[in-house]
Amino acid sequence: MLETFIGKLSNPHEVFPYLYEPVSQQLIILSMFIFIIIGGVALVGGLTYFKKWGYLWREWIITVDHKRIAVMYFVVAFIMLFRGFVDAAMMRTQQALASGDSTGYLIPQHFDQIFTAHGVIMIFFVAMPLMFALFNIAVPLQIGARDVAFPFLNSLSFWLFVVGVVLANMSLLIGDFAHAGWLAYPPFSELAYSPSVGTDYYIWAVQISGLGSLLSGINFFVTIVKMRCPGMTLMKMPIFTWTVFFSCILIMASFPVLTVDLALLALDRYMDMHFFTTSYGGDQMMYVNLIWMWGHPEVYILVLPAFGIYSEIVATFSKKPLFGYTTMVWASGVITILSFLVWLHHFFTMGSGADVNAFFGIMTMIISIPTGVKLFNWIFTMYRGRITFTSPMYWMMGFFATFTIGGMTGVMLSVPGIDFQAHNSTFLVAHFHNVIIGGVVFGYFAGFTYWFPKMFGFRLNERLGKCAFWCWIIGFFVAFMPLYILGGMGMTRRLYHYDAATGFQPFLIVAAIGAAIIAVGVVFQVLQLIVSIKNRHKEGYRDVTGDPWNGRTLEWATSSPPAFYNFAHDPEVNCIDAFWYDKQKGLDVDNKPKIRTEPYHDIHMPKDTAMGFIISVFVLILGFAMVWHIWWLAIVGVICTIGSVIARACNYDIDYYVKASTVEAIETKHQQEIAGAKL
Amino acid sequence: MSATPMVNDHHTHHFDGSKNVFGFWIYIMTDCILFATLFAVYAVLHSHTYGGPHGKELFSLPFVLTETMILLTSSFSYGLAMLARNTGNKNIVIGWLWLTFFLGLSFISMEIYEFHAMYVEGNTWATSAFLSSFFTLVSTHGLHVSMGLIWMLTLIYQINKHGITAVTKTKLTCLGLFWHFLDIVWIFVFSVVYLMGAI
Amino acid sequence: MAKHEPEFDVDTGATYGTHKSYAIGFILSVVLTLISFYLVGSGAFSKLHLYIAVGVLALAQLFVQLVFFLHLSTHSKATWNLLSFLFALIMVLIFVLGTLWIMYHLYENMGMNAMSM
Repeated sequence: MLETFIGKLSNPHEVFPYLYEPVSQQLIILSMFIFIIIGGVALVGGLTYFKKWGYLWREWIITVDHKRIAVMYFVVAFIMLFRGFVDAAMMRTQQALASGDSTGYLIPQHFDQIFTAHGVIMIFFVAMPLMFALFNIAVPLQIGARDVAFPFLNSLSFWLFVVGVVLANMSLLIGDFAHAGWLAYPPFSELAYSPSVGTDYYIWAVQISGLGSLLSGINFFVTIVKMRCPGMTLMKMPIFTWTVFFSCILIMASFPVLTVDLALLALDRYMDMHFFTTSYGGDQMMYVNLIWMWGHPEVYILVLPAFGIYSEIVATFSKKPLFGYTTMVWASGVITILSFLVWLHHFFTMGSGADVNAFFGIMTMIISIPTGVKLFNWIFTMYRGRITFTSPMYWMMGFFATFTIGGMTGVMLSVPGIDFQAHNSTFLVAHFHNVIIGGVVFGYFAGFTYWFPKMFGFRLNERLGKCAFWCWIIGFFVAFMPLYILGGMGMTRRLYHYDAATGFQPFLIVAAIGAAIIAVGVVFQVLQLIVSIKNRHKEGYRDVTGDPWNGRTLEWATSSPPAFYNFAHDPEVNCIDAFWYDKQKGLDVDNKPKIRTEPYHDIHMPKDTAMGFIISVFVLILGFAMVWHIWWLAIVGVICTIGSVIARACNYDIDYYVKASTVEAIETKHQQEIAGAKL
Repeated sequence: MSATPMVNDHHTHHFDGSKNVFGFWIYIMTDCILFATLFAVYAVLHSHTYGGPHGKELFSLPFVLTETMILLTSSFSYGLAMLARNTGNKNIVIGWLWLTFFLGLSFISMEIYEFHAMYVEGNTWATSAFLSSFFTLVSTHGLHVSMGLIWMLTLIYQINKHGITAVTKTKLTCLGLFWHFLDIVWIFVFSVVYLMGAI
Repeated sequence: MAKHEPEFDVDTGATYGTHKSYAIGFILSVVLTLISFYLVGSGAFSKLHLYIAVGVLALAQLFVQLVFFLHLSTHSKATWNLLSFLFALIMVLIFVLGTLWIMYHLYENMGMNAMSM
């Protein structure tokens, strides 16, 4: 009876599994609860005490401004980065301890959940949102647009991503999380072997945030195709915009596959279907095939924008045009196509035979060629440049070294014969952390530092940023080089406990020390933020010009943070890095004598709307109800979601005009600020 | 870009639907890949019958042919609605939309009838991997058609309320793309699932 | 359609057809559908030939509907639509053919009989 109303919530074993676990585990969970409660109370209390709820709602939750959405993406992504990092630290500690007679401090079912959560969170809830944050802050400004093509959709994408985050983290409090690894391979993720709600949390969290990612991909693709400022032909676009363009193509072509694959797994679990079951003709390899059809492009979705960021940074801080712009564009294009032809290298050992393995192995090796082209382009850009060694440049040079090593171990793994030995070993774990931390994470940190002044109008502390960099890169090598060796020694990944005779322990202790060094880096990053925010009005931090780095692209041609309409007059360009050349000529895109005398116009802008938030709340209800099998609530969720979408569609009052006088007031104030700073 | 009027230019501003139509076209391309994945799954699993029935024993081709013809006709009548919008007479547009709606509704009803018949005979999605993939592929299409029907109702309401404006025209164009696209997907369902299944 | 320039709507930038083009598209689709239905019913050819025939007819109908219903054209205003469609088509081919190749190779190589699964 109770089950009809509250589904699986009626079963305490499902809702509070930790009540039935050893005290040692309960203490860990208790401390996590205390942490969450203190954090939650501080947040809610702070908002209430400082009367910021209205501000939060009006300025952030209902906003459709791409610059604010970027900031929100960053905030959520950094919180999730913290959680994902804690998971990593727990794994490293467990493996360093669990040798011989000791089984470490975690029980196996917790260790399972931790490595699953680490992977899911780091990819879906850290890397993806950091990427979308960078898209949001840079792309519309770089192409001289007012906003993205569909501002409401942008807000909806963000809130759908937040729903995914909430569902994945809700599993900390009620129920458990998936045990089956970050890609939830069946048959283990099937109902027969994973009967708890953990896998359902996984499915719905990833599915919903994946929908948000797909919408964002479409949004930015249309933005880049349709909204470039006059004169900006494709081959005059900033290189970051180019990589976003290719990344969006990858998103649009691969995310539907993920949607289908997860939906089929869900149908197996909810409707007793037999796609991936061990009987009734199901085939679990089909799942693996589909998940990597998405999964491989996903790697390039993340890394291509990072390549774009490096390209912007290296040109800016070398004060030279990017070497080989055209080859850079084509290399990105080739990577985009090739990334769809290599997916089988993730499961060489499945048994498809030599023809198939040879084809995918060779395609994998070929992909290193365009990547190599890029590396040389960056190095040649630096050659004879007048380089300023800022912290973004540090991240970039760290990337050169780290990514090259990761790329070379990748080429090793692309040989099927070697892969048969290294498959599922810590060698693989070391390889992909090598490219993802070295390529993606360093790139996003560099991009964050680079565009931070654009978002907030002040720079980050350079000294602390460099300290953070050194901790990260040293910590990285200390943490992951031992894993290469351990992989060679035969240690499989996701190992909970091992025999003392294996000799794994010393290496794992070194790896744990590496994780600790990275933790120090994270502390430096937090300090960097605190110190910079504290000193934001001081000399050396504050930037009123909007162009703190002597940049080359259009985003630096407007104030920092830009007015909500981005540019008072539409910029016009006639070459790559037009802003740079205008500055060389003593002109400024916004300060052209011709334009300065030109009167301001009314500007057409989208209205803020709460619908993205509201729709997402209903989707959250739907996801929660599905996870806990509360069918009536799920139906309510579906109806409310469709209803709110229709309500949005029938609303024709979605835009307005900013008066020319308002624009003039804002612009004059900014001009005065610049003039004041120069005095 | 320079050919289209700038959005912020207040002298020439009017609602520019080209962005929306292009964006929707891109969405359809992603949907295309979604269906392609389902087709790939079906193509691999269609022989995994686990001793259960094959497609040949389950499908009634004349019934499915009728469904196909209904959907084709609805695509045509939607085209007529699209042409009627150029005349500016909203009642004619709405008339064709209602016809399209009822054709779509009969298609969905026939599909539900077919599924029901298979279900009561004991051939459910839990019978074999083949039937799982069959039901999933065909009902994903059916779900899309149903969403299209709901959309059509809201559009009829909007056109009735606002008349034929740039905004409703854009929405009409988007739904048109969606509807014709579903028609194309159905042609492949008909050919690959039903006809090839019956060979 | 092919004879004269397609017309573009001022508000949506989308092409629209004429009564004639919709009618041609509709009739062609119906005829193509009936041919494949008839071929399969008659059992006139061998299995392999039937598969090929049904496949080719479906592709023909895809083309008909793209041109007459979706108004996909090579006109310069519709370049991005055409390019994105061609890209999607390549992706569809890679995903479908790749999956079939991989999975059937697996079954053959591992000695698995699909019927018994």
